[in-house]
Amino acid sequence: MIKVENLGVTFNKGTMLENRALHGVNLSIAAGEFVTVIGSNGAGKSTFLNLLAGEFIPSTGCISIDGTDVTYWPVYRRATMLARMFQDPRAGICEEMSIIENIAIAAARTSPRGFGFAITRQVREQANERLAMLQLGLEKRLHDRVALLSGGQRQALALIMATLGTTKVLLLDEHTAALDPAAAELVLNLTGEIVKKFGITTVMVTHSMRQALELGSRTIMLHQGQIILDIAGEQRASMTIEQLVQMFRRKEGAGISDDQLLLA
Amino acid sequence: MSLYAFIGALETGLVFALVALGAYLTFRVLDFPDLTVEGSFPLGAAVCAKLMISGVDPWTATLVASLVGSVAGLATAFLNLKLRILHILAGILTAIALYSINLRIMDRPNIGLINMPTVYTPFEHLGIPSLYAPVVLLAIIVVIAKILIDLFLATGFGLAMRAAGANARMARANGIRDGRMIVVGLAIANGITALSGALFAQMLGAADVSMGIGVIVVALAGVIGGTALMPSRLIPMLTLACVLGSILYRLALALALSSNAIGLTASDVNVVTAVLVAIALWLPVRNAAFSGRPK
Amino acid sequence: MSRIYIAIINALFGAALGASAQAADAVKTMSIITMNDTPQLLEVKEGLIQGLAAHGYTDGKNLKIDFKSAQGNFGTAQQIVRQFIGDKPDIIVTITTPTSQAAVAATKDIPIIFTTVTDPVKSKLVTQEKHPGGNASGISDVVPTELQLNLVKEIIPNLKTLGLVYDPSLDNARSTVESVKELAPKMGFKTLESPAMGLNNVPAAGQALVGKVEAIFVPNDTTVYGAFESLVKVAQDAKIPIFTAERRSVQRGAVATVGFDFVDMGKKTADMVDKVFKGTNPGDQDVQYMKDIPGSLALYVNKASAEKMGVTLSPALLKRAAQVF
Repeated sequence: MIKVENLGVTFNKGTMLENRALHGVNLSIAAGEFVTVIGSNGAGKSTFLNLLAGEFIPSTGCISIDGTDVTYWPVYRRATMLARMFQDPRAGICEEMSIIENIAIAAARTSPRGFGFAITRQVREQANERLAMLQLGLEKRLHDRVALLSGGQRQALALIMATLGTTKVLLLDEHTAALDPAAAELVLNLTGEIVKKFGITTVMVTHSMRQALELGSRTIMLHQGQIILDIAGEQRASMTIEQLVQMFRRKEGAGISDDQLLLA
Repeated sequence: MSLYAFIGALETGLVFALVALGAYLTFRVLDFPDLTVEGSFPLGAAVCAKLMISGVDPWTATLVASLVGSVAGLATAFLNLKLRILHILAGILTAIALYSINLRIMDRPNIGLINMPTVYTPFEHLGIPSLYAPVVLLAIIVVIAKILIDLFLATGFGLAMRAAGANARMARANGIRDGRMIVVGLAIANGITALSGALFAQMLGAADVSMGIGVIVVALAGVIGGTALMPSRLIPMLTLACVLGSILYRLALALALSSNAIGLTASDVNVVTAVLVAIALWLPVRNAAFSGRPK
Repeated sequence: MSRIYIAIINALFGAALGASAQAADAVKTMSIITMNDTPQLLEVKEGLIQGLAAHGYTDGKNLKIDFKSAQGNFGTAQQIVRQFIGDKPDIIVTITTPTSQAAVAATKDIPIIFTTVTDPVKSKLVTQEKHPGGNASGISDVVPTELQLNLVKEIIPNLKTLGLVYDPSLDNARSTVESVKELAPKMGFKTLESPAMGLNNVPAAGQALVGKVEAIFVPNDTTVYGAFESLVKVAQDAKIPIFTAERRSVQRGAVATVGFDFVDMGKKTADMVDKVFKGTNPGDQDVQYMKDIPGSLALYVNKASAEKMGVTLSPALLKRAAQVF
């Protein structure tokens, strides 16, 4: 589903601030796979996600999604294939608008926007159906402004919005990092349920090693712009966090402190 | 206030309500402070007047003027999107350029339109006193414009435009081309402003190159004043607020003008405007403070 | 103070006579509207009031005046005109072209006398100059360009290029400039335009002509006159003489003019108003051209400023002058 070849990006090339954020990344993610991405600060996790989403054009390499080369596609064009969730609960929704309006915006992501009314019966039905899955009662508050919702509720709504229509790929950028533990757990559980139910290929960036191992089927670790670990299957299933840290140290040598990697 | 002064307030309020609706679309919906209107308002007047004295019928002239106004909006969008000029500056630049362009179009700073058939002429023969003719036509036009804008903002495209103005990054992530939204929004807003200019010129009896001065403040007085007095989340209510705000502003002016006893002269109009806008900006803050909601 | 006085009188009048504000010939009501209240235009108003006083109408006694400026705002101008119509004055006096157009478009009943309008026919205020018919007539401030250019040539015989500083958005300024450009080749010199789009651009417009012209001509232009002293300074520093089209600007530093005085124009306007008060409708009064009214043009010179600009005025010229500043 997602294929990345020799992907690299260098910021501020030729200046003092030159930063090779990512280089020589090769990756192939099958349809329906749920990949978690970890790494210390500055490892390139968010950059990787941003490249997949289309926020930057890579300096080298190419990206293809579902067989189509999307390397030079801008964000809005990739939106037909992939959806994103951000860390900031205010970033993924329009808080001044109502729940149903936000859903209508997301519903049109994978289909062309016309001059028909935005909030149709179809949109309403979809909203009721999907929001009910959250079991937060949001389907009864369709006309409330999103600004009235808590952070956890917003992320849950954003999750629904991101998985509407024919979305094939979901990119999650530390989407529970700004939530309190209870809300974070709720959203994480929902994430797992929903992507499984709809078979959505998912890439989730997280700071938490525990999350990285518990969710999904494959884990990738980035360090200084390169993939240094890629584990799945049996090896991954039986791995503990301490083992993961040791594996990391072996691959990379000194220079990483436990604290950075053992958050939550 | 005499009946005439009241009608005068009503008719100027309605004409400028169109500019207020355009300002609502740019300043509020798109979050794009568009100052092009200082140029596109007289542009509409200039094109319309030039066509009329060249023999074109007033309706066609008015329509063409509106379309030309849209082009001014496209110019500002180009400056902002392609040349990456800050939105407020892009509008100012276009307005400055339009000053010279308008002079060119008219060939002189002022074109008189008195005793020529205008769009109001058919309404003067309806049996109602000619004083009311502009008000009738303008009311019809404003209502149609308002309804069209309300409907537009309820469509998928309109909702996308609202999203682009509210949260551009989220809009892009949802497949919305926010650049295109700006282009369309500016075109509509400046088209409706040029329409207003054409209608105003026919009402005043002349198109003058200096007509655009102060238009944006008047439009914002309508938008801000109206939405402060009638706060709502519903778009049809907000557009109504803009129209009513524009009319109320003119009524307040008319009152200030006719109150010679208080000692207010027309020279104080600017201060009155500033006070009105200040009050309008303060009202929401005061209401929020009382309701305990964060501002 | 006089405003309160008028207000009280009106209140008493209103109470005593009911709704009729046009009570007999007791008090004449005059509404004046101007587009801007620049000094030049205020001089016209001054002259108007002085002229009416000379005809026996005293502001506050048998004359009630409502004076309003639109502050450059067209929407406000339209509202003021409507208000005036509602007040039903005995006459509306309009200063400058846009306000005149607004008034003429708005009423066919109330008598209108316009003033400080350059081309009443072209501005569609009247259909013809003689006996215009309708309810409007007035005075044009179009300048006698040929006379003035002759004066320039007399004082600057080696004139090759004449600079023109003006605001292109002002109708009467532009008209005058067009007229100058038309006459110049016949009189043997070229012209060079330097437009000033606003008060702040006036000195720069002057600077742009330095080294390229032997003299500068400024038409009756409220924008340039608003920043006139700064232009005079530029001209004095560069030793380029400035010529204008009316009296007050010469007092302020222009070398000379064969022109009229705006206060005087106000007085001539008062003459037409007086005729209306006495029963002659504006439609029956010919449109007047200030420059053609006998005695309105005079030679004004500013010797001191001329010297600063490097120009010596001949004694014969000085003797001819009506006034030497």
